Amino acid sequence: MVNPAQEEFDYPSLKVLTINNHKGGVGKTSLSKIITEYFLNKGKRVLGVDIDPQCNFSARFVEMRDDGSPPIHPEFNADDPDWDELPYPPPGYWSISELFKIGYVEPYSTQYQNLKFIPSHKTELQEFLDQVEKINREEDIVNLMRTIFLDEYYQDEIDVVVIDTPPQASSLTASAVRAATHLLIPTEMQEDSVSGMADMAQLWETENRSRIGDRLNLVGVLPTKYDKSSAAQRNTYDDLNAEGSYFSDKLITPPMRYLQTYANSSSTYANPQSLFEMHDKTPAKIEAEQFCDVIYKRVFSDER
Amino acid sequence: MSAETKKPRRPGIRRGVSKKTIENVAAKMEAADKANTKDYHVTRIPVASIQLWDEQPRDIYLTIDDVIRGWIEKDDPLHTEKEHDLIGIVTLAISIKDTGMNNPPIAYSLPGQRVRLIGGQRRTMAMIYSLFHIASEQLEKGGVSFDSVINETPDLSLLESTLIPVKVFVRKPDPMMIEKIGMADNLHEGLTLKSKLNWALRITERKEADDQSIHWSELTGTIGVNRSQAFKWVKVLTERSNTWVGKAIDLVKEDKLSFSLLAEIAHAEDKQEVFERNVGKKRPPVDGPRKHSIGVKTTNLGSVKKLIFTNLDKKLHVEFDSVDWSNPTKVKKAFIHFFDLWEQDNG
Ligand SMILES: Nc1ncnc2c1ncn2[C@@H]1O[C@H](COP(=O)(O)OP(=O)(O)O)[C@@H](O)[C@H]1O
Ligand SMILES: [Mg+2]
Repeated sequence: MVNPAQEEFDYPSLKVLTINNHKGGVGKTSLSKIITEYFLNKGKRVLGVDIDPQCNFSARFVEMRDDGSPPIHPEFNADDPDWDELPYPPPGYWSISELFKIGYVEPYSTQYQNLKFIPSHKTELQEFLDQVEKINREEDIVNLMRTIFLDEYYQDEIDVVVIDTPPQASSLTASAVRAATHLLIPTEMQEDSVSGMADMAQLWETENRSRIGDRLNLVGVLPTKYDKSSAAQRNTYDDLNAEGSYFSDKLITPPMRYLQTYANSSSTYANPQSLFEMHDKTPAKIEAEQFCDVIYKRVFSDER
Repeated sequence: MSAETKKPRRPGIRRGVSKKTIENVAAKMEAADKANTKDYHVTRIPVASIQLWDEQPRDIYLTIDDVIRGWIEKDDPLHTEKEHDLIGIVTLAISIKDTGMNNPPIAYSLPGQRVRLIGGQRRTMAMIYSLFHIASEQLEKGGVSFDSVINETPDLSLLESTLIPVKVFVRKPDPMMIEKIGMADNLHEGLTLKSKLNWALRITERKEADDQSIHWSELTGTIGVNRSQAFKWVKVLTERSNTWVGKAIDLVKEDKLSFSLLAEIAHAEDKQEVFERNVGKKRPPVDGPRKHSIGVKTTNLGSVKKLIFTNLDKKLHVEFDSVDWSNPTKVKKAFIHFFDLWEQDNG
């Protein structure tokens, strides 16, 4: 069949922000939550997408069951004959693994009016990941998310998609990167995280070289869990930020410091649920508002 | 909220990430930032103008003749290997027939209108296969199913009349670059452990011929392994002339040994001991390629609409103006109609 022309490769206006770093524990999931909340506060219609079988991003916005599966979809109605046409996978839930397996998924509504969510599924996604590494990885797995987001529903109902990715590289992560208009790389100020960014560079380069349409924009590199009192981290930060260094205008400031508040508020039972509902003087809230604002402006930079 | 607490300090051995690491990463990021498709242009060219390869790669046995024929001849000496390849091609062909060739193959231009592929050989073969041997069927439950049906009299003129998008490199890149682009691109296409291994061995040989040695970073960017895996790979590659490592490599290629065991053997002091301890043991068979289910069923109504309007001549769009795109039954009908029109146009 005929290849979609270039204009069919690019979204007319949808933004897709993928938060990715092959390293675990750098704060991807915490950031995904915070950025989602920030975009909502800015009045954007957000779709959260979780492709990490650990389901932590999902658990913040969707009431996941104890076995790491999503709840029954609220619009599921076993008696409605139309559901035969768009079969809900038994027992009536949708997760990101269906998106990869059958190319269709119904996002969940959440407690926030402007937030839809495609949750992960602990066992199904893990199984799929294991399987996908063995089969000839089909090119449409990599292209799938983009193809799906090109659908009118996403174009009309959503302003921005926020995708949290798992630590390891896989074709699912590649799919999230292919779907992205913007890429955010969180990194700690440590040797292995910094040198690990070479992998991200490679991914970015490959993506830019193989895209037909718009390039993949790097929103920036956000230093995370930054501890100013460590001379090593401080030196690293200063070197990255040094005038003339490539990173100096890629680094997002302020960095996300190492603060207990982030760890606390990332718990599923945190109260308040959102960092932004905390007291205005909370240091973590203050800096999060600042770095989220930078991210927000870069993602929506082409808007009047 | 309690006061913000700090991460406990640890005595540091390093004074931060070395400048060299930072410079190195910065250079890579900068290259990525500047990289664009301008080295290429995307054009649509007849399938017949595409040359698949310089010489047949060691990890694809299938030939174009096999693909056009659609099956492997009984007395073909490479029957088993080719059958194995063909399964992958059929799966890919179905998805191309269903959702289109979303990721154009990469090539460089040859004199005349012709091009030679650097990446996407399997996709191109699958495209050819789909021209001749993939049939579609309307499902009662909605959606379309695609299946492989061998056409005994393939119409070869289709190769001339069918255009496919190809990303064409203006100048022929140097051999190492070709290898890298080809490998990076093939990542999107699905790589078996065997092809990764073959590729890595080839690169290592080439580098050693130039008195250089393979570096882990060349592996992370191309065969999609992470850094710690890459170190294991390097060990395997540098130890490859050891008898036991060599034997283990062969077993991995035959899917009879896992890569982690191969790495263990390569790392071991007493390679023979580790080899014999592990290879003697019965191991569960490694799964061969499986059929995937993506795209076989078209359940996404919005995408069907998109598919139709994308692939149909503008003047035919009116025929679909009155379709109720939220009604699965109507969409199904529209799709059948579309497919008839499309087949009239495209054979
Ligand atoms: N800035 C921070 N300060 C302190 N702890 C943090 C910070 N960011 C994340 N954490 C904690 O670190 C752990 C890993 O973070 P997470 O967001 O899950 O990382 P990733 O998704 O990259 O694996 C979590 O327990 C989280 O609460
Ligand atoms: Mg995470």
